[in-house]
Amino acid sequence: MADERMQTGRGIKPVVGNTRLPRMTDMPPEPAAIGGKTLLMAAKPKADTGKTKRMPPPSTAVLRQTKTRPDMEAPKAKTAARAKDGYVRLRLRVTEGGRLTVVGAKAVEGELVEPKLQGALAYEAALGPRRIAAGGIPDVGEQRSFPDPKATLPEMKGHHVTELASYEVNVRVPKGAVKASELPKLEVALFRIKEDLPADAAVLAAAEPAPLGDQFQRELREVARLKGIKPDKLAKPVADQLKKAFK
Amino acid sequence: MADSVTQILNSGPPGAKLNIAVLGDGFAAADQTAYNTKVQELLLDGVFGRDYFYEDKSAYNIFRVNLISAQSGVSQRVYNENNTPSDASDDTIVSTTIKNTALGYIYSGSWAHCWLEGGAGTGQKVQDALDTWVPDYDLVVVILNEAGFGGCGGGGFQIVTLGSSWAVMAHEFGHGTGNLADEYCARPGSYTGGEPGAPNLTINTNRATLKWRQFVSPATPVPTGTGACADYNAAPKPAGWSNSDDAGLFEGGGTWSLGIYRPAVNCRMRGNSPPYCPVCYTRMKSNAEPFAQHTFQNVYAGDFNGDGKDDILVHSGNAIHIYRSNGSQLDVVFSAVERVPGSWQFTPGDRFFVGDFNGDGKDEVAVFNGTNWVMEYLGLLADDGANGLKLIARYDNSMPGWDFTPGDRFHVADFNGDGKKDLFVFNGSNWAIPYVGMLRSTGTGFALAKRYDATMPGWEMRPGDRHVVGDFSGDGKEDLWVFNGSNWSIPYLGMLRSNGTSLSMSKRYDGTMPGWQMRANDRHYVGDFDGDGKADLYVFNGTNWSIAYLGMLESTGSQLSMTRRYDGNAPGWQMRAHDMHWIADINRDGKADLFVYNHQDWTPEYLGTMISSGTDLVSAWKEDWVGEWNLGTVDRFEPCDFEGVGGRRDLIVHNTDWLGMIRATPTLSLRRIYHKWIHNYRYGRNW
Repeated sequence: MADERMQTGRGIKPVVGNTRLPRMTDMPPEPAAIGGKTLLMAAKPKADTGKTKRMPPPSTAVLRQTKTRPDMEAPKAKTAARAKDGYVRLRLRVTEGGRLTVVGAKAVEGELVEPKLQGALAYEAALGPRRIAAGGIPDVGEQRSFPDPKATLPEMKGHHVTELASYEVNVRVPKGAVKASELPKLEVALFRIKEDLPADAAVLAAAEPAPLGDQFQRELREVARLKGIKPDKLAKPVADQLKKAFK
Repeated sequence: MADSVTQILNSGPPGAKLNIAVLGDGFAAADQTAYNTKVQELLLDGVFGRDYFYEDKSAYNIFRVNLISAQSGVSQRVYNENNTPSDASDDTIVSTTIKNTALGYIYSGSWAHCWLEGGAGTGQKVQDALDTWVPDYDLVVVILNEAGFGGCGGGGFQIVTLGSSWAVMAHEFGHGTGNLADEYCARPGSYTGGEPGAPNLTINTNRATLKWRQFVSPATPVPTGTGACADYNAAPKPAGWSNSDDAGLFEGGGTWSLGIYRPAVNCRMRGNSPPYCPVCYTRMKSNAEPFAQHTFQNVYAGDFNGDGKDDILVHSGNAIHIYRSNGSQLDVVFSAVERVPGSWQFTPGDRFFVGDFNGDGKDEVAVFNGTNWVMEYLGLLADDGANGLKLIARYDNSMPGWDFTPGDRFHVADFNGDGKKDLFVFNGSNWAIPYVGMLRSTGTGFALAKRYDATMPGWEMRPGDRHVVGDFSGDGKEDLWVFNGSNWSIPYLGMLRSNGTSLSMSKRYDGTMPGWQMRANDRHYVGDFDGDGKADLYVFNGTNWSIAYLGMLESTGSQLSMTRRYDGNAPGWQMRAHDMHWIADINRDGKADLFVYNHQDWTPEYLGTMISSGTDLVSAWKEDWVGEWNLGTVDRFEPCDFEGVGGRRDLIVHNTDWLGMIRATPTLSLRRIYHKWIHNYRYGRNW
């Protein structure tokens, strides 16, 4: 397309948008046929006598407003539509040495929005080379006592921080992305976010199939990895939760 | 009484929001009201009643779980701290008094023991309660029925006593959702570690590479404060400096007094009750952004507090925000998610109509939804006395004399001249015949003044009728203009005069107006361009002729006469097919002018002003950019008066992620630009 820019000043000619169309005149318009007929509005239209699907008769009554009102009524179909989506929240325990184990699972209805790759840790869940979920986890691995408002020692004006040898995190995977039979192939990696990822990290990650740890080598450090979930090797309550969640 | 759950903040499906689960321990059946009151006080009125969390309510769900403990109060443990209360290693248990509670927490009141600890099976009981009662959780708050002070956080959990405050909780949420570090300095020593990963701490004192350099004014020295837990001491603290809202580089943070730096003198991550500093606020907003799901797609201008300056209402999904204009910037004053008292439940299909419906000098909001519920709803939202809105009237499915249907189209107009805006409503698509209703505002609701079924005086209604409003007779009552260019063999324009209770045909134009041959794509803009108190007509057609035309037709009070017609060019503006117009009063002379925008017909986009002298127009424009605003195809415009100077010379320009405040005088210029969220940083910005 040519670089067309507006010009203003004396003598600038109008832009002709469509050479096949005429210019406006003072002549009355030629009536156009609609459905083969010339339809013209009457000078004094008569009231319509149609009988189908009409509003009830008009009324000028004022509706008294009540102090409380019921909830607005949602269509039932909406709930059914939501049930088609869904995800599974996996509760994972990280223990010393970077060991990851599943300690709980629950299916949740509705859409899943992935958190940004920001926080203390990032996670990536993958089936082979296919990433199925990723996100940030803000606060892990420590326990903090609230500052003492009547502190007798300076340090008690702050948190008493205890590093935890073991902690738990939630990882969410879309239900449709992994079948129960694929759980033994599901890998979940946890990374420490050493420094902030680029603001568009999630977009970059989505566009790039390479594992997060490879894409963001400088920013991420792997701290734990779960290589496959084998329900038969888990405690029965957890195995049952997994079966139910991925049913 | 059985255990139960109540969702006390309902922003959306759990997978699309950050979910906070609140559990209680040691609350027996008789204590449940006290527990509910505490949850309200801490969470809804406290944390979510203020600054960041108030703004971003729509990113969060809160589930209040009522667990019935067999006994009231929690178990107690007494430690012998051996006179070293900050060192737990030498402590011994003196006594433990166990109570039968839902979760089994034990309160000790010992700082070094996190004030409290779990009992046998507490972890599993908490997990079972969460699995049973909440669909999902990101943050967990456990409230203990214990009067003593205390709280223990970490890993997205915070367990607090009744003695805890909302401010400490908000600080803890900074850890829990933002991965923010503490900014206080309780330890006397010097930090010796590497660069912290948290966004609000650093050991870097180089301004050029400082991770929050975007928020530090060049006039602020870096470092700004040095020494143990420093205040601003590199120079005299400037007048107007805000300890929480201005950023610099202050020594002390991460509990250390020296060797590490924080961004503000006293942010929430240091002092709990101040708001988050720019660095922490930005991180919190950024983290919550995918869950808040705010956009600037749906923006409505109106003076909601009656100060003469137009504010804006932003609607995103199931949330609304009101941002107050001070003349040159916007600040959030109202945030509501899911519903407002009354009650109106917000959904994406809500359509808002702003006007002073009760004549109090402040704008109210009529809201209609014909798509998201099993029936149609019309509501009236009015000032709640606290900068917000509450529902004062709602019509479910119908009101006397009008049965709402999805195709109802509303127009705000004071058709009876009583100073209260009313509504014209037209439906041409959902019934066997078209209808026009005149809904009179009573100030507290609406009542049908008159309904026209299929015909109005001198006008046979058709589905393609298009309406505009304006007082062409100059009697103080706004009239109805109706055009139909598609359902008849020739186009028609009718001027229907309102007497306050009904309409009469003042003049109908069949095919032609004086000096104007009507065509299907004529577009009409009503405004008093000659300032005589009678609304006139601008008419534009860019597609039905070989060149574009713009007509200025003056109202005589009962009909129109051609004042000026521009064929192809208006003075200072080359007209093209896709010119879009909005009525304005740019030079505040009481004569209606036009804003004009074209993003389709030229290589760059053009935004212009067309100022009326009463008989003529003079145009000016900006090409491609207005200040920092890069004009684009997705931009939408809301003419208004955010400056409060009178007239209508301002524009709110907006698209999904950006919102700008444009002033048209003396030339088009950008006053403010906001990205993703509206926040007035003292220095810098969030992109």
